[in-house]
Amino acid sequence: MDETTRIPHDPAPGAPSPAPKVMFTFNGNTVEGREGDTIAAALWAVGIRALGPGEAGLYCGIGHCFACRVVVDGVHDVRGCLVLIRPGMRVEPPRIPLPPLPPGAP
Amino acid sequence: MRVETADLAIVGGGPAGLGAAVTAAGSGARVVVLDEAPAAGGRLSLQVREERGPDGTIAKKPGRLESRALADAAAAAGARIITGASVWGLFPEWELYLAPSDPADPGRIPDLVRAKAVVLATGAAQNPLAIPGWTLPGVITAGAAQALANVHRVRPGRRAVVVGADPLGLTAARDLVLAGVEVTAVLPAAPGRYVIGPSRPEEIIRNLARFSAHSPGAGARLAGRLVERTGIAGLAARLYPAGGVAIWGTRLVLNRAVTAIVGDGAVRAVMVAAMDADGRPHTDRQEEWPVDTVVTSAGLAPIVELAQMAGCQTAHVPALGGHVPLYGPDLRTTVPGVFVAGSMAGITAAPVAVAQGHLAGTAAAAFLGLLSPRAATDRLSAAATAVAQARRQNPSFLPDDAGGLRRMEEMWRRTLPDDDKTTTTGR
Repeated sequence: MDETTRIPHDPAPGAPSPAPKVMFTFNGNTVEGREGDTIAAALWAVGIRALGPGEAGLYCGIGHCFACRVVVDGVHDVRGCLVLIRPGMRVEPPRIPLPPLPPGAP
Repeated sequence: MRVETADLAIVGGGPAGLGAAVTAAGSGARVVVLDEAPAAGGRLSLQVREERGPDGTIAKKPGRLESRALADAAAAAGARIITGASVWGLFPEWELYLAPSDPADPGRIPDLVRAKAVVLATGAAQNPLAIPGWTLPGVITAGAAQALANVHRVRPGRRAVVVGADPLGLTAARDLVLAGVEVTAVLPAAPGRYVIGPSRPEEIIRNLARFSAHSPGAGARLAGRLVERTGIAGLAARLYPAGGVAIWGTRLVLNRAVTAIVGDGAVRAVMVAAMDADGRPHTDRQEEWPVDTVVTSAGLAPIVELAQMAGCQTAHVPALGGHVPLYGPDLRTTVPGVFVAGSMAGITAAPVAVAQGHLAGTAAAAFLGLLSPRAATDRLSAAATAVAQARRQNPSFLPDDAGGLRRMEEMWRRTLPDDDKTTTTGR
């Protein structure tokens, strides 16, 4: 896992103070997040961007593209950018990886 | 099946939806607001906007404070805001079918909302930028980058490049720099089959200058710097400085373009080709610029599926961002009882979306019979004036929104029966 990427200092006024920690698991490993994190943001903060084999991970951030979908407490097709982490939440990669995607036009 | 009833259902709890909720609830309507995200605020929560105070000073204002204030005002007026709820179906007259974003607490949201009127405020989504490598982890849209940096206080990466030299791309670059990201440059994508938006430097400069001409603070300085250092737009492309123009802690580069993103399981670099003044990339000589994060901006497109499901007439108006529902001066659609507000009716700045929300909320309250004819006329007129004022004070990301609005008025007039064509417009 890469180093944490939390921003300690907020240059904009009215910034909230750091929220309490929330522990959850991803792929069986414990992850430390903050209250108010979405699943995708909490994982991004500890350097986890790829959410499974062949998966793109977070892309649009608004629940529109479904690239960030994960399995949460056994339930499939949960959009990681729309759901907040909870203590003890069990997050896993999708069982069905994406097929190889077209590379995009030159 | 859990059914909730209301006078007015509002789909989307962003600036437009919340504006409509405040006004409609304030007029006595029982209002339910539905949003997919865990909290209301929409894209307003993402933003750190610049505002000019009465004494001319520029202040950075986090949009999340404004969105929280709007949500509180809506709740205080009696509106019920249901978050974590996706509206996947809209059927006459009117039934809204919901699915939970978070499956853990399925009993929390109703299965169905029944309402006598609907305001659709579903906003817009960013167009994908489908260049080779675009699906690698570490490639995110500008909006996603802003959410990470401004809402979650997570640095989106160590070193990033913004692909898409447009107002949203530049705004996101500024937010990234503020978040401690080294932003190598903001530059265009090389033209291609799946690349939307201008690549020619002249057109890019014109769009940016038009946007920044109305912006307080640094935006105006950008316009001034571009124009003074490079001359008028037509010549600018040929005289464009080789290293780009320094702006907001990064560089705006218009004589290079990104052709591909490379990496094995993660972003490692972008491939960059020189681009001439006519927007043609020289792909025989490319450089590799190492980055760990790529932020894309390729325009915004209104989200209009629910309007289409409801039977609203829509049209393709590129100047407004794409397919939009036809709407009248009071934001009614061609289907009685269905109103629209915000970017789903044409890409708008957040303060304009709030003002449109107030207008649509007023029109919905009038439709529900909650306002006397006199009150309806007066309030609609005031609300429409406020929308026009908000437009004048807030630049649009669109290069020709004025043309788009004229087109919409023209199309709306054609949908009306002849004896209704004397309507005044409150643009």
